[in-house]
Amino acid sequence: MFLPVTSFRLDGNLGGELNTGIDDILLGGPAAVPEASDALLVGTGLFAAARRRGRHP
Amino acid sequence: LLWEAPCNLHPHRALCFRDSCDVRCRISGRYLVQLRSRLRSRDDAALVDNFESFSPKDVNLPSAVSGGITYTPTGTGTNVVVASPGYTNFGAGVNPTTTSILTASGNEDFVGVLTSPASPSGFDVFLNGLGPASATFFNGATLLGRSCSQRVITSNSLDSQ
Repeated sequence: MFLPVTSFRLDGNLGGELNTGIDDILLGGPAAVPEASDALLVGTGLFAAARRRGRHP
Repeated sequence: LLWEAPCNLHPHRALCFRDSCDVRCRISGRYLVQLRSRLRSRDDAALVDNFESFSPKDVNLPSAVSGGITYTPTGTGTNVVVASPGYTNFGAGVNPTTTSILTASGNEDFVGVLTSPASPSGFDVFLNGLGPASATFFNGATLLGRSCSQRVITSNSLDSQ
């Protein structure tokens, strides 16, 4: 799973002589949403566990 | 670390996609427009701040909050300031500036902390041509990606190219 950005850093150079800077911040949504395949795997595992418990109360 | 490489051509935008972080090089204006389009559409990113409505501008601040991001000086940086359009002390090709820019008096070393984690992330970088500048992306203390570059970018002209 990818990690979303929580912070960023700009390190300029000789900014006292000529400025550097940033503009136009673009951000996506809160990331780290599980993929559909991941959810399917989890669901399958839970279903299998439930069936196993059903056989051996 | 997902992606790291020096960028010695014509950098423009620091980007952190869901699978990689880098500063894209300016190969052509059209290429940059495609990159911006990619970030906005395919990766569902949106412009959240251009500093135009920030207040107060042109004032040295110990920190600044804008667009859900808290900016704080680091390293040799001692302040942050949002510069109004019209400044002529930026790198060649962007003077006088025509947009509001987050910068500093002195060296521009600052960190931006997001209120909510986000991916992808990106921003325009104004360089001064005097040496390398780097943009680094983190998840907590984990380094996601970093790039540096040395050329001045006229980001204001990109959309019209």
